[in-house]
Amino acid sequence: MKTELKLKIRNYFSVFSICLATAIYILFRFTSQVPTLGAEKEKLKQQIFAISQSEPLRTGAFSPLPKHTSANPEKARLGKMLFEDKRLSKDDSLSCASCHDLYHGGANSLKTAVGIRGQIGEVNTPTVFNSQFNFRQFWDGRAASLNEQIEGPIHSPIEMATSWTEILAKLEQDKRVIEEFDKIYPKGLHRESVIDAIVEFEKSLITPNSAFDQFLRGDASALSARQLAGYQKFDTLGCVACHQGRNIGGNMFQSLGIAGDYFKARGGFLNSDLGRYNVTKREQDKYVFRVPSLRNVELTAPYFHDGAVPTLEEAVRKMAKYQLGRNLVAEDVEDIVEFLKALTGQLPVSLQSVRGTANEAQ
Amino acid sequence: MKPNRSSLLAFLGVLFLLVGSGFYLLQKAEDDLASDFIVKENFRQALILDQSLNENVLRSRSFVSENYDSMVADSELNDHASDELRRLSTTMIEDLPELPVQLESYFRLWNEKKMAIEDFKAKHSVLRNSLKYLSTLELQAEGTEVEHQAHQLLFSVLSFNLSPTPNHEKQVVHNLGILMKAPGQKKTSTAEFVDSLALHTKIILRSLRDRETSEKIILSRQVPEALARAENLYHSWSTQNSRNSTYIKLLLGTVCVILIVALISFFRRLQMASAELTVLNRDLELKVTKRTEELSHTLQELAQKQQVLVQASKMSALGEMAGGVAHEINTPLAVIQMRSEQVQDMINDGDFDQGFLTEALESIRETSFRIAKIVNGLRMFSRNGERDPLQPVALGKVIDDTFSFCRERFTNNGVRLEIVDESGAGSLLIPCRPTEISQVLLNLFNNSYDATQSSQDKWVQIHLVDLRESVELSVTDSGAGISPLIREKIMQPFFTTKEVGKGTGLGLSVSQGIAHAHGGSLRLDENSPHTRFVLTLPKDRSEQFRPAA
Ligand code: HEC
Ligand code: HEC
Repeated sequence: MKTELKLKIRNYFSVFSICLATAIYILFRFTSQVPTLGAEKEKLKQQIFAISQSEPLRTGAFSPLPKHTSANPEKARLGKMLFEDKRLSKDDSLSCASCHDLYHGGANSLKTAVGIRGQIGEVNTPTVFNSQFNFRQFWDGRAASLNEQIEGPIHSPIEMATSWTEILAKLEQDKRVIEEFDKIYPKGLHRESVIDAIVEFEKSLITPNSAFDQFLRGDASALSARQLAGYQKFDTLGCVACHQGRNIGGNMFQSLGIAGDYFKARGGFLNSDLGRYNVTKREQDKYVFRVPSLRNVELTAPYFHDGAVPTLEEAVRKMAKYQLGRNLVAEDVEDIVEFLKALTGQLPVSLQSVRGTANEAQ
Repeated sequence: MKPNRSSLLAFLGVLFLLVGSGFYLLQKAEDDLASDFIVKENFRQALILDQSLNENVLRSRSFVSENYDSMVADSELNDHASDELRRLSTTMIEDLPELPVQLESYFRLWNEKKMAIEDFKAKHSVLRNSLKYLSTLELQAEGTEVEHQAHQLLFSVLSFNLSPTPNHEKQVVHNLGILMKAPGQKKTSTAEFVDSLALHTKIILRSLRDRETSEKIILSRQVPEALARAENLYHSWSTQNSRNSTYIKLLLGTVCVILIVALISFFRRLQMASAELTVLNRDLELKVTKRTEELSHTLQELAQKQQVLVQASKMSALGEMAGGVAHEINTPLAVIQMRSEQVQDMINDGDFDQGFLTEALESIRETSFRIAKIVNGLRMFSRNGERDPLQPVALGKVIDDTFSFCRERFTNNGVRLEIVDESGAGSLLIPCRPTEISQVLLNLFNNSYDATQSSQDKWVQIHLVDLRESVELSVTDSGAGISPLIREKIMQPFFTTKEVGKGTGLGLSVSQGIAHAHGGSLRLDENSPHTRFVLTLPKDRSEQFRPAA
């Protein structure tokens, strides 16, 4: 009788506790009405955040660069290593930095780029600084993002002429590299991790606090009188209609030679002269290029997609002539050039260990 | 309400099944809800961004907005939303195969719109520059020969910009023609100026036309309509789906309610059961003592009753015997009567025969002795000899004494009585209480007598055997024997084959009790063809001797 009762109690008790646990769990799950969206929700939040952040950009023609980079410093450090790693080219002769000299404004002083075995390309090397703020990558805007962009030089037969299999095979022999990747990426050394690290490094390459940015932030004394005059001319002449926004360029496509035939005057024909046409094959996209950013333009001579313009003065004059249908007097040109020099920012933080500003790099 | 292991297990099983499927469905519902939320959010964003882009385009067009960064941002975000929608639609391709198709037409339109936006941006910038410059040029024209024409041209260009109709365009072309033919335009100083005016007018004409085309594409309702179609498609499906998930929620709610009810009932049962246990624990000892008391009381009562019963059985045996006893006494009485009459006659006649007189008196004395013996035996039998000490008695004598009560009855009814004692066991002294043994024998004899009544050749045989350790006394009769059906029951108390009122049914059971009390046994020999009861008594079992009362 007694043992039977004890058994009864034990049975009831176990059922009771199981019921209690499940009921509590279900109730808990029910009351926490918010579905577990996890990563998806994060993404959405970021999207919504980005929309709300886009608001202040509408105000003026320009806006300053953010003072700090959002790049992950660990990944950026690894990315810098890869950026300067010659194993990313077929014959171990070139790194990204060979063309994009980080202490030369993120570009080089050659007319057009020189790839492996001395092959000469058709276009001038743009800077990698602030390139994350360009709405498309490359002169013709064929890459929508930095991630996409990397495939370009890696596979181009006249640049690095290699492939991921080759690169990864070479990197896998380096214990240090493997260790570094294992530390940061769950996937370890992998094509995606390599790209991500390089992109993260590129994202760290912002040149904040240029004189013009300080001016935009309200410091009226940041620009010299000449620069101020240059700024006014840049505005009234209409350069601002194309070179505008946060990156002072890099947010639209424009045809080169609106008010005159640039190519006829230059002579010769290159396939790359067709610009955006090479991507879209639309007739109206012939000779259309992404308007380049003018930030740090002082450091990135020679100019234009073909590198045919050796000095900034000439670039300004050519712009006025072919894009605006104006002939500028020397004074205007000089003022504008002075202004353009005010667009040179500080050396990116990720490179600053040695030097202070992008300007001092020379 | 009794706890049953298997029913509890079954309940648990069902519970687990319910809860398990509930969780699975809940998880699925949650996932669905999450992805539903994301899909809808992306649709919403795509629509908002599309709207925002249109707004930006209009703002730029009226020169409110000075840069395209926000347009770029919106466009990128919209691309992102499109990518998400594309990805999500492929995950739902089984449930909603029309969605990717519908979305694809939206993506195509969206891509066209994106191109148009790029064109718009480019053309608008150029237009803006030239319009601005044209106004400055017109100011410079003041005081020159072409002042009027320049003014006319600017006026028509501005009208054209405000409402880009073919008529206005024609007007611009017309005015431009007038300017080019204007007198004095050949002058070198003016020529350059006129060229410039012409160049920018042409740029304006071209870019305005292009800008209008792209603006039409951008502002066309096609994109939001395609998006809305896709969204409606998704929405109707998702409403259906969410109805399903409502059912799931209902189901889960029911499970929850069941669980809670079960919870409460199990809790109450648990409480009740444990309360019961405490009460039981408290009462148990009380009950146990009470029960033991009751039990000992019953045992006492039982012992008393048994004693009464034993006595009763003895008396009943006696009763049965009474008839016989009358015979037993009647015969010697008749002898005494006859002899005394003979002696009387002799006295009356005066003829004294010494020898005959002596013989008659001797017979009277002997016969009265016999009567005395019977009466003595009867008295002895009737008293309760249970507490008598065991005394060494020869079985033969006990048999003899017992026979004295019933010999006449046997002989009068033609029942032969034989005593077989080859080993001389009858003369062995056995420790016993003769009254009790006699009671057993009388019982057996009476049964045998009754049994023989149905047979032709009536006999009862008593067999004595010396078994060294014990003495065996068997009583066999010529009766029909005992049916195997009742063999097992015959030793049980109150079992009887006799008519109601004739037997107590206690004889054999009491006899067996007596045999056991003597350290012996009484059993039915089942191997014998006749009814044969065997009484075994140990010769000397001193440990069995009861202490004298
Ligand atoms: C052979 C020289 C060379 C090498 C090596 C090279 N690039 Fe470039 N890079 C160029 C040239 C030339 C362009 C412009 C190509 C075009 O627009 O068609 C360019 C464009 C870019 C751009 C786009 C900038 C913009 O504003 O559009 C980025 C970013 C870039 N490179 C990053 C890299 C990275 C990362 C590596 C290493 C994986 C690399 N480059 C290696 C020459 C080089
Ligand atoms: C209609 C749009 C437009 C206008 C207006 C315009 N630009 Fe440009 N600018 C461009 C384009 C497009 C390029 C790229 C040319 C090429 O790809 O060869 C460019 C290139 C440049 C460059 C060379 C950048 C480099 O890194 O190679 C400079 C400097 C420049 N512009 C300055 C100016 C100045 C100063 C003005 C005003 C006088 C001006 N631009 C007006 C569209 C314009």
